[in-house]
Amino acid sequence: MSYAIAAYALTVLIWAVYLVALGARSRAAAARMKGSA
Amino acid sequence: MNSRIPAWWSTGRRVLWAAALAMIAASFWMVFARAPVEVQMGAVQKIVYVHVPSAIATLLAFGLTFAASIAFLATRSAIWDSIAAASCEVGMVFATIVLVSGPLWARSAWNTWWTWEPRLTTFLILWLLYGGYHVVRASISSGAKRTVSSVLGIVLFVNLPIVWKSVQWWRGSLHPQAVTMDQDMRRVLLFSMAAWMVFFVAAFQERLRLEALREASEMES
Repeated sequence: MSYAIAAYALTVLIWAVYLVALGARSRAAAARMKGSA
Repeated sequence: MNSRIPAWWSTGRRVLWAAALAMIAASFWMVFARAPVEVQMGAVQKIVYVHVPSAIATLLAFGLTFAASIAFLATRSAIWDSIAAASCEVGMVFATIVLVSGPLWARSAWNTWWTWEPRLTTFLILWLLYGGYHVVRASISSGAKRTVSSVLGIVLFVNLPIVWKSVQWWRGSLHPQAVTMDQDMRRVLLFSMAAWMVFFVAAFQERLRLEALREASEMES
């Protein structure tokens, strides 16, 4: 069971890191757009 | 929300994320509470419910990159390039999950973390090459970026049928050519696939939104 739980935990972790980073990139792009407007 | 991103997108993405996260949570519950434990492998077989949907999502994402790259070269419309790049990046995340979950399965099933069998080797090559797509794209700042990315998106697609057919084309594959599954397991796998497909769409539109914000930023500066 530990390998299965590890696989799911890593999946959640990878997606969490990616989506948080994506959110930060989107906020930065939105801020740039507001700055240049 | 700026004027270049339609208001319905903002509402739609919340609904999409709510559906995606609810379906993923439900699929996890089905995997650990409802799916029968496989007799030979035991609980480690449950990795299949995230590994296979992630592999299929990878192929769909890179397939979309291929189609959008062709559409960009044919029309020169920037939206197709944005779709290709967004899909490719989300596909890379799914591919990474395949490469992370696979060794956990392999350690238990084949008594090794990694072996150079055809499916693993071709998938690793696929991951490296599509990683190269992002490196090349990030390294070009001129107007040629879209054209070069599209050509790469088309050329790299040749790897997908190789990965798909690798278990048939080369001997020594540890991956099965066909899988027989208990009815309850099949049901959980199908639901997990549906959940991860909705999640793919949610992540894809989120990444596409970033492209739209960047486009708007460049146009207004």
